[in-house]
Amino acid sequence: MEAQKTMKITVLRYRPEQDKEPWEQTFDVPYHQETSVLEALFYIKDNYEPSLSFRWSCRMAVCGSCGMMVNGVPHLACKTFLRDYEGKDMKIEPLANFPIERDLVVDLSDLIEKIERIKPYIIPDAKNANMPLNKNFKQTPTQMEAYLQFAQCINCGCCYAACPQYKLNPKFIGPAALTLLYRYNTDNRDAGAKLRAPFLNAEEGVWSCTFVGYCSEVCPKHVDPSSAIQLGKKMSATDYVFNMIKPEH
Amino acid sequence: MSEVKSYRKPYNPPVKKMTWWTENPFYIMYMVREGTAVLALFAVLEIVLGIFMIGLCSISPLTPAEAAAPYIWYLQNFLGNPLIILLNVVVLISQIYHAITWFSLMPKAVRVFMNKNSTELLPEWVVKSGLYAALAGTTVFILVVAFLTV
Amino acid sequence: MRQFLPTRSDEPMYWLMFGAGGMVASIVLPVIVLIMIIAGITSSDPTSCLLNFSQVTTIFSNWLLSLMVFGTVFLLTFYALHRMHHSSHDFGIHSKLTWYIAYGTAAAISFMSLGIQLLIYVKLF
Repeated sequence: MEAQKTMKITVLRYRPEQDKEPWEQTFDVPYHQETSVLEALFYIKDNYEPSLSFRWSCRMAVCGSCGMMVNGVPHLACKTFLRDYEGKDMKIEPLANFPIERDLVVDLSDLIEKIERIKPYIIPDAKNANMPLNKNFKQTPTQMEAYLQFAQCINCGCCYAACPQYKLNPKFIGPAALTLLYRYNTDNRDAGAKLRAPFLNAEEGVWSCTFVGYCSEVCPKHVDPSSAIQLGKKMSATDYVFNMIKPEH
Repeated sequence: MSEVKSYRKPYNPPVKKMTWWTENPFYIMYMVREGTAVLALFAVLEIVLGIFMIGLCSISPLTPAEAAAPYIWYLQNFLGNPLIILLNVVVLISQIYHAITWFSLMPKAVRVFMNKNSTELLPEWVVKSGLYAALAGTTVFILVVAFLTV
Repeated sequence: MRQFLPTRSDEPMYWLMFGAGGMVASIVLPVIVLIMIIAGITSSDPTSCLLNFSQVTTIFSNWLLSLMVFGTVFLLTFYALHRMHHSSHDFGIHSKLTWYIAYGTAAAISFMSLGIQLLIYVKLF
């Protein structure tokens, strides 16, 4: 068996009952080829600090619960491996740009509220609104491909942690919500673009984005939010020009 | 209203409004990219100064041969100033960096299928190489015309 | 429940100009700067170097070429000052004042250039 290696892992701790602000705690964690950051946190919780809090569920990059900052970069803890940090120390912090609730647990309610705001569900047109449940919408492979990539979002919040515009202006609707907005607007079964338009066209909609592009860099599901936002800008600009020629109000 | 006391006390990390970008190399490169606009503005001001100097020549009451003096000053003492030449080299490099970043981001705003029954997207390299070809073509064309009409 | 909808932003207008200007900055500006460098280096002979007086008067006495120069100047100033306006936001300055400074300066520079170009065009004929 190969010799066990250990890594120095610093975790940001915050206990709301007794701490005024977060503090760092360092642990020596043994690891092997397959140890993920999430497993390292389990090791810390089992062997050193039973009170360490962090969110997790599926352990396979599906649920989006374990987003956190690893050496300052947003990652899913279950999809990040200690072997890729060999020879370095590791620092684990809660997801940036969100209020810290306890240890590595952040309050994502702003993200959830923003995703709800853009109506992330299929809104059929009047003709199809009362379609019986045993009837299907037809969709060609091309029509599905148009939005499929942007439907892969698991709401982990990594893109919000990566976005400096969200950091500077928390009113910004942000990458994930705008990506979902684009995803539903381009779905051929959907007719809700008009209802979503105010959020797309607003200053705090696509127009707060300066195309930093870091959201696409860190997205664990390769959704490419910055691409969706640029396509959303094109959508909004087209709408702006049409509205200038023929105002709706 | 619940009778249970809440122990929640969320901690909001402070935002470094001026220096947030120093913390990540990706953000630094972003700020460099945005900074190239300052040098682009400098290049525009150089052009406008040249136009202004030609304007001075055109309203001069002197004979055409003598009237060119302000523009020749611009050519020799402004554009010919070693400091300005050096600065212009920096401007050139910055604009090439801008072009590289611009061309690498442009394909993200293009999402076109190969045909209406295809699930294959127009590849990024097609858009990118088109843009580089436009840069090369324009550069060669303008240089050739400029040298031929001296 | 009454929902307050956000108002439409005017940013698309500036964004479209910024896009066009950014394209000009990446495709046309490098060669313009290169020509200015060569002109500066060879300017000891001001009658036969690049951008010599007769060459530039040829440009500005042709209305189409002159209009192209104006278009380049206009798009580049708006592009550059739009980006700088957004950079001020990146440095934590959120104020309507930078909007007025940026687009006001851009309009002043480009329309000053147009005015002088018109003057040159009229005087040369």
